[in-house]
Amino acid sequence: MTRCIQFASFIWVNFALNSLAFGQSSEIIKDFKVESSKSVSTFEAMNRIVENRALASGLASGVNSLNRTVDSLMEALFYSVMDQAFKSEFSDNVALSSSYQREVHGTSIGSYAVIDTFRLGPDFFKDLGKIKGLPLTFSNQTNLFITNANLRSDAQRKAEGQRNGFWRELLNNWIGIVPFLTTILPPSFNPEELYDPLGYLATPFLFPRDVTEALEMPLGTVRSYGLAGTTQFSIDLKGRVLGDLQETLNFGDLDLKVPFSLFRDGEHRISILRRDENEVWLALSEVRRMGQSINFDLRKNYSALQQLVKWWTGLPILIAPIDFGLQNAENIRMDELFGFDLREKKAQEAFTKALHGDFQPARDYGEKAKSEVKEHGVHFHFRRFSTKSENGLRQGRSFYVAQSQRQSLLGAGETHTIDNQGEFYTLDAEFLMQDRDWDVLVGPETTEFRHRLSIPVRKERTENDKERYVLATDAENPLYMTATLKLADDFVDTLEVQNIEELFRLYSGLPLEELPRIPIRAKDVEAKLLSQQAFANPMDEIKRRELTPTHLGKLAGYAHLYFSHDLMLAIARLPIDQLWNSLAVAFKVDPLFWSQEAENPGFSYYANWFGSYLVSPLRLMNIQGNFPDLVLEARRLKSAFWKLPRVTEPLAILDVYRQILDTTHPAQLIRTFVQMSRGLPLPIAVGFTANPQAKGDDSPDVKNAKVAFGKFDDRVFSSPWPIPSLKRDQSVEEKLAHFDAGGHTSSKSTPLLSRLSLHLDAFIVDSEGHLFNLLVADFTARNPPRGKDPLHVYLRVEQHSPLNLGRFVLGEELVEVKPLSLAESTTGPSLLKDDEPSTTYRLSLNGPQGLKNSGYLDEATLKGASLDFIVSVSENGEDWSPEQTMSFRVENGLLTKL
Amino acid sequence: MIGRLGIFLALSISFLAGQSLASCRLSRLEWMEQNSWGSCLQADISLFSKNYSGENGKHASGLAWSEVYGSVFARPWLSLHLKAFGGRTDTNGTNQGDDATWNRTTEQFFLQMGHPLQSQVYGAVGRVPLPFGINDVLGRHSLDSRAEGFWDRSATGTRISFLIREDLRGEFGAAWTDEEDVFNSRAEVLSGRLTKLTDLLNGTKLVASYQALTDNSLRKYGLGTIVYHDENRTSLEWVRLTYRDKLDDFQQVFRLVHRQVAHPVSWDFQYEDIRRDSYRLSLQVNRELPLVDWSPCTLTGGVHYERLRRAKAVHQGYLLLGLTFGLATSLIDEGA
Repeated sequence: MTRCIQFASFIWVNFALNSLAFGQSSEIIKDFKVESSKSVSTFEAMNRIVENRALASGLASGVNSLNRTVDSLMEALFYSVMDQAFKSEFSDNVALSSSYQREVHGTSIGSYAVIDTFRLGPDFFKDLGKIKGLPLTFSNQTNLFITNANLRSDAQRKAEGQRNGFWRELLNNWIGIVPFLTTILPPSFNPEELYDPLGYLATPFLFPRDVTEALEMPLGTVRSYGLAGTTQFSIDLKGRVLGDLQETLNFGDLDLKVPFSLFRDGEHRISILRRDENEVWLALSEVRRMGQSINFDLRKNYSALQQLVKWWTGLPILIAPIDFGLQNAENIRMDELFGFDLREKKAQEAFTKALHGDFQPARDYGEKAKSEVKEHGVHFHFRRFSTKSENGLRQGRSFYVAQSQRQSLLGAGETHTIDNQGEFYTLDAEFLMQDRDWDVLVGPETTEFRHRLSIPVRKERTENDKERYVLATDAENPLYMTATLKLADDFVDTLEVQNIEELFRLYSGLPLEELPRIPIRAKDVEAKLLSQQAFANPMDEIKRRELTPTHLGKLAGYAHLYFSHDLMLAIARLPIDQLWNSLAVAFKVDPLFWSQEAENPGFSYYANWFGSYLVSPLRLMNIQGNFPDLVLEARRLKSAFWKLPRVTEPLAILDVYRQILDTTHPAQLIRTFVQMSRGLPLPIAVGFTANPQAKGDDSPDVKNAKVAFGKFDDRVFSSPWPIPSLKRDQSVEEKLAHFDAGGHTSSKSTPLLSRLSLHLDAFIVDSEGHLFNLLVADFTARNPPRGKDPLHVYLRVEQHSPLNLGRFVLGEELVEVKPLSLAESTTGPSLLKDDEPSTTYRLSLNGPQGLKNSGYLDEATLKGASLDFIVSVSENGEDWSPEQTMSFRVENGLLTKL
Repeated sequence: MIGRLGIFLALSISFLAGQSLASCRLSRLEWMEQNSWGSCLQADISLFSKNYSGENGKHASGLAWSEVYGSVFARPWLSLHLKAFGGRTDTNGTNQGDDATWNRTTEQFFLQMGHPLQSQVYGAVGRVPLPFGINDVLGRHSLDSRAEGFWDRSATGTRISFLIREDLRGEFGAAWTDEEDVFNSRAEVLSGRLTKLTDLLNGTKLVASYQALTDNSLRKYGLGTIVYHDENRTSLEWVRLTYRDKLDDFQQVFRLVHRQVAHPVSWDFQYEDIRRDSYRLSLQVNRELPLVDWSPCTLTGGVHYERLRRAKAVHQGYLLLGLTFGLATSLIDEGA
């Protein structure tokens, strides 16, 4: 009887609450920006947030150890189990080594690129004695490698799990350890690092041997094999002087090394990309590099906590106050790309031969007329030869919990490309700089500058039978320079947002006035802390909480500028005081003063010049500081601008541009050009994506700050002149980028989630007398499956966490949902254009028709909770859309978006 | 005109002001800008039971102690502070039989000029702890620490604190110590601490400290960090002691303390490693109890494992269970 009364009163209360709730709203809707996977825009090509290929290959030596420690804590504790190296020593000089390595890169669309590599080969090392007391060594490493790279998402992992069966899935997840770790560890733990150890071990056997095996590769997978080798003579220049200095400065047990090396390395690689059901791309690449490098390292690898557990070697801790390297190399590269429609017999034959290194049949088909492609199925994309001279610089420091790296590369040379339209030559210069700051608490912040010049030329023979370049510019193939800035930060606060805004303003010259202004500190939090701490003991001040800028969430941004050669000529012809004035604006010093100083160099001029050399030792440790290298930059640009209008020979133009691009201040350099281009046509585009991370107990001022931050999302700013479309040489780069980690975009129109709406219906009592509010989701997808075919939906529910310091996965499920008829759809008009097909699908999340394990949702809808819904959709359960997130709070029968 | 009395009873554990259970709150923020008086009184009373097992056999102790902190503000920038401790320990079952000890100390008694939340420069004179390190520790009053000597007890002296930049604070202190068990000599001590504040999470402090006896017989170096995220706190500290007469040798401690809060429960973890001496692992669980509505109360249970690095390793363990009550009251001149 008592239970009946309790039950009745509960129903009444719940009904009253729900009635109240329905009086306001019990539905929330979130629209997602969708972009067709087919249209690879110029922006997309420039906005991939993956490891830069040029930097990765150009400065590979010496950087890897530092890169691996970027995730060092997780690496040391968990991931290192996957990276194993075995060495069998045959003598003091020769060993056979083999290794397994897994790299996981996040991509801009939320999934991960997982790259598994197996290497096997001999190492040769010989001590050649001493030259004037300095040790000279020779080493050679050659290895056969096989790589398996695929784009993975949680949805793919879950779908694969359902297909694999119980035992394989159990092994893939390390008998349940991986899901457990995912639940309890911070989000910096990535289960993809450990997932599928059996597939990982099978890496050496994964490269397809024939057409059947190639068509068994998952869509979007890239597999490569090849041979790589490095030979180098190295001499350690540390010597007695630096040795004595090391002792005098008492660096403790840090090791100082100054190796100077002459090296030659090379790589031959065949890669296959499964593009869609029947099409595969096959790429051949050959790289040869020769050059010299000098490094300056002060470092030591320590082991911490090694006495805690007997068998454990401890936690590796890298302390490297100085990690500096300079490299100069001649780089020769050949790339060739074919597409094969494997439904065609001839394509199958050519593909099988190409797999084994014989490209002649594919080349023969490639030379045939384009109209015949349908018949033989072999599509020749391009063949490209490039020779470049590159200078690389690496500056870094690592104090285990906080690391900072800068890598830059300046290269210039010739590229000869043959594509379907014929052959063309370009002279290129490229400047790359990547800054990466990382700390153990909030992860990395990456900033990348990429400035690129392309000069269309043709080769002619002179009367002396020598080759020379002649400019071959026209409207389709102009001489141009592009400048791109990309930035990604997973944890920004109000102050950082202000600094990022400032960087983009500086770089682009656009005022970006429409961006919301967010107060750095929340007033109400400040008042609360003051109230709590006014009477605190002054002697405990070291433990006093300080008011810090408000944490907001994730932010990514890009800026892209396009400089035509005519524009550069126009600014080069401006009076010299305009250059000084613009540089001063870029460096935020007094423009008037420096314009005058340029005419009559005085004390400030020489002090600034000398200062640049004075601060340079700090840059060994990647301490960049705020010193404006105004005079150094101005002298270089002055010289280059004087030459630019006077040179007509393509090689001379290349040299001048190379001089222009050779900077340590890329943001200020581009701002100088923007400043000097006032009134001239300069296409600029700046864009941001923001993901505010709200939490239930945010104070009103913090909530307002996050709402304002949300307005950064999808904001694009541009100049009146649009960015020109991809040029011919950029298209080649674009195709090659498909083979990079995370670079592949599907050629098919796959479903994309455009809207997610949640409804909370009045309480329901099921047949067993359980009470719950019914939570229903409507998914609106663009490019939906045909007709009444179901949509595959991956849904993960996480407890909404304040600083995203824990993942707290409540449930994860794959379901197939049927489309709603138009009459059933109540979510209101979609933001999509009428001509773009979209369909809405409905899913009850809890209750009798709901997800398998939805008890937590029953409880959440009754008692209240803050949740994150992470959704991905697919037509076939293989090719999944990017994950989209909706954060919301459910309380008293009300849904509130967070 | 004398203002009305404002009493605030803290309802939750506070770790904003050291280890105090309850803390005074300012009811009217304008008070900071006015030249008016105010006062605060905080008191904690703890009752603990401790069980020991190890090198000295097994024995149980009963502990009762109280820590009182009071401050009187003539003006927000001029105040007098007193912090006192008194406690009794009863131990049964030791080799020497039963034992009872009393402890009473005036930990701090000083005149403060300037307010830390208001002034760029402020200082104190009297019985003060010198500015050195962080000294975040678990069970300060319930368990003796072998690492205690790495940090300072209070001594008669002075300290001054000044803002170098918005995110950088310097502190300097000098004292005439009579703590022979800490320094092994009566001497003058000079001490300095630099604190850099960064915005990571909800505030992260990087702390560098240096201390030396004026006769140069002992030097101390310290590096540490303290990280706040929500109500959670993590501190990591390293301190090294070097002696003039033992140039080749030094003493060193490494300590990690983490507090995780999920009301009404909180967990504390500590790892403390003393070079060539010992290491200690501690885990403590605290639960807020609604026993009386006028005083916050916390039930604490803790396990501490200690290993002494000797020729033959010695293992020691402590089990702790206790209750702590807190009270805080503040009074300000409302009429100003």
